[in-house]
Amino acid sequence: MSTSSKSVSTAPMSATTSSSMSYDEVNKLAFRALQSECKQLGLSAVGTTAALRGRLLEHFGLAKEVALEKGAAPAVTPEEIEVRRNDFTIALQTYYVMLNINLTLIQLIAYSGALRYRWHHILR
Amino acid sequence: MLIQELCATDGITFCDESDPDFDFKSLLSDVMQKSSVGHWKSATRKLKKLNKQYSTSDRPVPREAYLAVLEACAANRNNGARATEPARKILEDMAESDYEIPTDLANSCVMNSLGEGPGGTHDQCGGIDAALAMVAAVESSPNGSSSLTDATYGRLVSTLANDGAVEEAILVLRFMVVEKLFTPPLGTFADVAKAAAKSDDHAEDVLQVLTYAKAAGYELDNIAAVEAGRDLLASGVIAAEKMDNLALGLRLLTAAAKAEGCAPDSGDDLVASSSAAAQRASTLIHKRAIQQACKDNGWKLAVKLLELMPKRGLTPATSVWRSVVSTCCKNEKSRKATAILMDWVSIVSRTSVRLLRIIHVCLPSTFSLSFIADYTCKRRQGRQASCECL
Repeated sequence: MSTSSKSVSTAPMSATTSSSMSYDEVNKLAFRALQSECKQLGLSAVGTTAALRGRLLEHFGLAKEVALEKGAAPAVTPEEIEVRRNDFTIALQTYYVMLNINLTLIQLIAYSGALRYRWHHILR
Repeated sequence: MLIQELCATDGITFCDESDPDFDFKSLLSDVMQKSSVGHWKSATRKLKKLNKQYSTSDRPVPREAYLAVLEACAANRNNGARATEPARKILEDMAESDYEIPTDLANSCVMNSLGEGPGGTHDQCGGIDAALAMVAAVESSPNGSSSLTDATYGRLVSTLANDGAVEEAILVLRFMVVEKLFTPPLGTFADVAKAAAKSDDHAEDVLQVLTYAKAAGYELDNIAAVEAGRDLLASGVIAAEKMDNLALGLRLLTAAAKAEGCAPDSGDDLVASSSAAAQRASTLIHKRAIQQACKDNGWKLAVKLLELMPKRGLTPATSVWRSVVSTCCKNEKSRKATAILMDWVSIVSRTSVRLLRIIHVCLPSTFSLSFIADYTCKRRQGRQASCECL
């Protein structure tokens, strides 16, 4: 059942034009406004909200943005995967080194404290 | 190299023996539990999380989870329409997942998303857009084309019409009658016709609505027996007046007059007096039709229409009386002219207007004077002149 027409009064679409719609503007359109917009652009105005929205986003070239925002994994080359793996390894190793240094420092501080305590007793 | 040596994990192996579906199952259990106690907001949030973070193509959200949350949302008339948007989303997700939607739930969700506020909202929740989206989702689901009942579509049509969206209302009405082969109640047609007659640029759409009413199985000659039918005919009369289609307006009033079951009143009287707009349209149609008949020298038609006006609760204007009397005089129909004059006198005297004023109005007319003289002579020849009392 298609109910699209030009006399949509309640849908919040008056501020936008068909030629310049952003991702947010498309997402803000109500059902009848989506139908009307699809019809104006010569697209099919039949289907669910998601289908209509998808058609409009595809028409405006915003479909890739949708995929990224939805968390879909973008296409990655093997080289990029290798680089990311190396980066991760280096970050992990740096973390271990920093941890070791911190432990050493703590040991030194404790040792110096103990020495000071001992000297304090000796001097007495 | 030093770092790699330091970080070497020789001899250590990791083995994850936990249930890989634990998070999914845990969240699903939460969803079901929240739904069972009617916590629709929490259940909706958890269902969304389950859908976005844990469901995969191999492990989709089960239909039972959708149904449980949908039932929680649909309870208490969509929880006062506040749960309309989550219900719409669930219906769309179910349609997308090719899950069958239960008929009663689908109808309940659509019906309860519509209110009496602007845009069909209820306390600024729900509305026509949400209802239309739900209808689209239900229809695209498996076996969804036969899920929604005529009552649901009818409610949608009436709400669209009351909101002023005449074109959409007519489209849905057409879908109901032509494609679904439903017979919507007369009230649905009346709502759409009323909305179309109210707007200036949709007068022609009223005729379309009348056509759909006929196609749905109603007879225009009988529908005036019920109030919704009279409203439909009244909208037709208003539209006919706007379109200056006098024949149609008179035909609709005649159809109303034929209806049985309006006793002691007649259908045309009830239609003409159903609203101020209908009364005005009926009066104007009769007036124009009489003037046209007088112009064409059709005294019979003019007299007939003039006689119908009081029967339909309409008061003819002075100019209308005078035009008919003049036409009768022109055609040398003195008896008819006298009868009309007498009627005029009786009607005006009944409405407590002074008789002298009428005589003052009608006497200056040359035709009136000539017909009175002619009539007096004729009557004197035969019987007593009844009009001498004038």
